[in-house]
Amino acid sequence: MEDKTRRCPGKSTLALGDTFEYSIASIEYSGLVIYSFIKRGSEVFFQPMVKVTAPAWYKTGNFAGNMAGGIYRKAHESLKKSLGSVKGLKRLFTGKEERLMAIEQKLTAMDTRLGYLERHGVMATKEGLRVKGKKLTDEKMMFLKTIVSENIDLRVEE
Amino acid sequence: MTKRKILNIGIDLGTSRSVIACDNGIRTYLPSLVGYPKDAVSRKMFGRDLVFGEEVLKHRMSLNVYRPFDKGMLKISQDMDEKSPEYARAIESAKALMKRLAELAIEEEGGQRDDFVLRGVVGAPALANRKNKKAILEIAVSVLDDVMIVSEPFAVAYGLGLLTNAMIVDIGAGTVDICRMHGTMPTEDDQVTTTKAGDYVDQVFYELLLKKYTDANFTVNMVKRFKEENSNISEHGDTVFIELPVKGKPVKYDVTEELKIACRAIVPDIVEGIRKLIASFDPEFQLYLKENVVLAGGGSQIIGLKKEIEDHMMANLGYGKVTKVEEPLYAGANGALMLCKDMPEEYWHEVSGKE
Repeated sequence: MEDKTRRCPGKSTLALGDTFEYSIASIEYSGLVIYSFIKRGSEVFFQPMVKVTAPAWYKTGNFAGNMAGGIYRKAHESLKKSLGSVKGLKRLFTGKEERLMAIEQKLTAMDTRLGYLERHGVMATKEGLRVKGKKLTDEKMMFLKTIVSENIDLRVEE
Repeated sequence: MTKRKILNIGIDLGTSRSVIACDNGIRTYLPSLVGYPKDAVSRKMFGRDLVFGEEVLKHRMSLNVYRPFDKGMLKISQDMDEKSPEYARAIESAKALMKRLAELAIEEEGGQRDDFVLRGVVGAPALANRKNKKAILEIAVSVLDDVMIVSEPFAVAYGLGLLTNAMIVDIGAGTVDICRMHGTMPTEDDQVTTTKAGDYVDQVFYELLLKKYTDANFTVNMVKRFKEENSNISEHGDTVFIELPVKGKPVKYDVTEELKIACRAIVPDIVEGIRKLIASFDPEFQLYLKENVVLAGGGSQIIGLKKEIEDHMMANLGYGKVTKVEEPLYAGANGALMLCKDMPEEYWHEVSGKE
């Protein structure tokens, strides 16, 4: 059977509970007060400090920035003078690349032409161009001889 | 005395184009046309009495244009009087054309004509008659220092190294020359010539367009140029449009079918020529011929022609394998050049000593 009787807390228990709650509230309150003191105190202390020192920091920062900017500009100018602008650098290398490509193309054309000449029996040597001695087959010689005879007949014919 | 430089030249005199290939690397062609200025005004405009090449086509309105070759041969008939003006005009214009070709050969060398010994082999059509061959020889001798004449399809075969078991089909503007090679010099029996060639295609195409597009205004030259750029008999080819003027305004016309019909018009005669040469050949070697048919000449550039001929050969001869030369335009001139260079020095002396 369920025990449906409620046990009523005693007066002392209630008093303890209240005391505990009051203690928590006190701690909270004192914490807030302390926080407030710290905040106001720091404001009192740091604000003037910031006011006094900020211009100096600002000026120092500006000064450092100007110095660095000046150094960079000087370096940039002298670099520009000796090497030209970045575009000029690019042009320098691109121009060289184009010249190299043109030379490459000329060499390829010369190679092709030499190959053509060699195929037709002309060799390039240190002494100059030399015609390769060609050995014709008997069959080809027979054809050539026939062509010669036909052409002689054509000339001799009235 | 300075030694004269020997320059070897292979010459292919065609109805539509004359081509040269030289051993100094020059390879070029000219349309086989000579232009004579019509009057004093046009003579002054050109600054000379003769005009050649593309200039003739460009300024043909101010020139009398003459074509020295017809159906692959000099425009002189067997019974033409040698003293007649037509004969003289044919010889004069052919000579002028050949002289211009020789000039092109030495132009790049930079020297004078006298600095060179020009040695040439000239390709003549397979069945050119003796009179024609003699006339070409006389013209060539007046322009070059040493000359020999050979059959054009033979020159193609020599250049390709196909001296045996091969069939050369040289498709030009005036003629299609078919020649079988079997290891000896081809005779008349080894060669067939048909006159249904590039010019015939132009004529058929022109007539078909005339019939279909009655409002359009055009000439054979216009359709010829169009054909050379677009000739295609393949079933998978693109649709082809031509722009023709109608009352001065260009209009686009679909000419795909007409172009196919025109290009196909030369195939039956080619296949009949091939069939004739194979049928009359030793049966033991007929198969070798069938599997080694080589197309050359400008007409070989028609897309799909190779397959069309193969299909016809399959149907009529049981088998056929056709290939195309790499450089159709220069095959004849290249072969003639090779002959020129291979010819031993003593043979040149032998020929020139008999003049």
